[in-house]
Amino acid sequence: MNNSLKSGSKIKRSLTKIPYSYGFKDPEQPVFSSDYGLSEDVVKIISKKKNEPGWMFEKRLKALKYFFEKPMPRWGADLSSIDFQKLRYYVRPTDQKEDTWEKVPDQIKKTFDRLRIPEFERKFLSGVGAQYDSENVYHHVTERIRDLGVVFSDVETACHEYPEFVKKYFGTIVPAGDNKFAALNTAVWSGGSFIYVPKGVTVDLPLQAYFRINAESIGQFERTLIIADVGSSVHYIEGCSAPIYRGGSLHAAVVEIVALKGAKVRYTTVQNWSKNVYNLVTKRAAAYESATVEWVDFNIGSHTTMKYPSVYLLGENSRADILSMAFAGEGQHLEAGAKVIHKAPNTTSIIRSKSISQGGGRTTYRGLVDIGPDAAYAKSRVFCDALIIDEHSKAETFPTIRAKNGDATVEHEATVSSIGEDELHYLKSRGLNSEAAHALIVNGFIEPIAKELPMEYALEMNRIIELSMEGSVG
Amino acid sequence: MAALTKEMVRNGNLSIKKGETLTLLYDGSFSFGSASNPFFINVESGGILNMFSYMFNIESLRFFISIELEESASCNFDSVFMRKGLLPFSGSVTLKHLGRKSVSNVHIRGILGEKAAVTYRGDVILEKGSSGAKTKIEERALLFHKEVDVNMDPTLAINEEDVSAKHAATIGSVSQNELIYIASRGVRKENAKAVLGLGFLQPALKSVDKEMEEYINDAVRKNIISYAVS
Repeated sequence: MNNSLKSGSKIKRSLTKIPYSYGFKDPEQPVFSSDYGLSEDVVKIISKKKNEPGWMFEKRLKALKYFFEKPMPRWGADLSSIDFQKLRYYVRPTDQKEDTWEKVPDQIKKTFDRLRIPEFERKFLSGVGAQYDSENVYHHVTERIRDLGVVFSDVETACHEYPEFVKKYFGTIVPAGDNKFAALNTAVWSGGSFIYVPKGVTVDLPLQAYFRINAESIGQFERTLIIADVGSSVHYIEGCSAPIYRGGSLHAAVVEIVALKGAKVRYTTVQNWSKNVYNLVTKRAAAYESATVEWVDFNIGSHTTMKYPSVYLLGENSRADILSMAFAGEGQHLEAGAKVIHKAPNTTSIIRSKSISQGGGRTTYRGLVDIGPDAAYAKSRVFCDALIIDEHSKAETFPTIRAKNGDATVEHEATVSSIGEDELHYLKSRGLNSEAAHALIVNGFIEPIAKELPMEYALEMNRIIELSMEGSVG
Repeated sequence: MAALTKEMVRNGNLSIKKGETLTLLYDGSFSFGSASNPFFINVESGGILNMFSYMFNIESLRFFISIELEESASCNFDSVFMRKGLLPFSGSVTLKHLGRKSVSNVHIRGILGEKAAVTYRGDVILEKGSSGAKTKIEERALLFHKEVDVNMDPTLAINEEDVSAKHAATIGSVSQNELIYIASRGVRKENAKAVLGLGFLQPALKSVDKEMEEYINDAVRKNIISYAVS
């Protein structure tokens, strides 16, 4: 795909018409909302409302200090528009979390119905968590999975019911002082998921969480902790969306995954925030001996995303597999990369990144492969491909490769290209019109990622791409 | 072939005039430039810069070079190095494509021996207006020893649609299969490693003339055994 695309400007015109199907909103009716701005009082309120143990409150206060001390990142996307004092840090939609959809307040249930979450739960899933602004409003796991000893709740519940796990792992994979937004999350976290899969248990159908921001100018700071015990296996899916507001919102989640010996965790994200959301997320996994961690990370929404799912390969023969996809349109800057840190012998990793920039959008792949001195015979392969649809868009790749062990092997390949006239001509000669030909090429480009997505999300992604090409040429 | 001298880099910049060709040789005997103030070369429309560098000494060394390519200008930057010891080597090449149909090829190959500390950065920026530009950047490091510290950053920033940009980087040790194959012919292990190392560097020597190629290969042969013994 090295040749020119003469029709780029026409495509750009059409891309601005892409409808965002999830931009609807409910009237704000929270049972509690903190005032605008961040202070120790806000942290106290959150902790009190959650009636959480003192040790967690201490963690929050310490993290808040880190947040105020740490500067904004001096690299990556432009975050200068974020005003931390113009956000609300805790908006509680209901007073309790339900385990059947019938008990969820009507207005909120309708929202999740429109997002088809209950339908997906019935058809495809072992359990579902649904977060609305700052709190989970619904959490349910099938009896069959619960009987296997699988825990699927939120971190608040886990603090009370499984404190030994939370104390042992919370903040160890992503320490509060890791970066400014990890510190912010640790200070004001609310909601998210806690998953524990016991030894040898395979959760055959995925667990899913859906995060919805409804209120204007808020921050959503869910916290997810997944512990896959020895020889277990689980697939977790998260989706997200928000209404379109004039004011910006902030989503700064932290995800920590612990894959113990021989465990396998797959974490799939379908990020579809509205274009007023700053999505600044820290996601990291630790993989112990012979464990496998897979991130499937699809990004199409948000105003700005900075997200680099990471795996620390700590045990011999552990493996990381990261698929990253970004689709940036007008006004969007999506930084979606990946990091793998090889700390043990015979560890392997593969990173595959695909990005598409269109209508003035900007994509950035920022990656790191770091082979430590003890990672003898480590192997890593990185492929990143970027497709630029028109002359207004940008693509960047910033891979960093470090090796401190002479027995390691690292390979990296990257290409940036546009849609070739010869490919278009070939497809058109088979009877496709230009729009269909463009859509087919783009769908083919992202096919390696699409086939890894759950079917309902893959179909949605294809639909969005087809819409983006509608009326684009001729 | 003109040698890049301390005097040239002291002046801070160099310009290759419209349609002219300059072939420049840097022998790695001195450091120059900095991240904030690199040695700057401008290649005007239709101009050609062929630059070849080799770094075989083990002194501390760093260089920073920034090359701008105007319309239809081209640059071939080839570099080979062999490093060992704790003294760091840091190289940085930035290529900015400003004009239409500008072309760049960067090819870096190096061998790292015991305790080698190498950072090699290659940045390619395709600016707005560089439609039809093509760039290819390749960085490859062959590791001869377990104790090494190598950093590679081959970056691409693309601000134009109708371009072709590729980069590749590899870091790896000598193939055991190849080593065994050669050793099974009665060649000592370190000699086999040296043969493979010499072969590894050859693709980066394609642009140099016969005389320079022989000079480089002689220099590699003289030194490589000391890298291969581990």
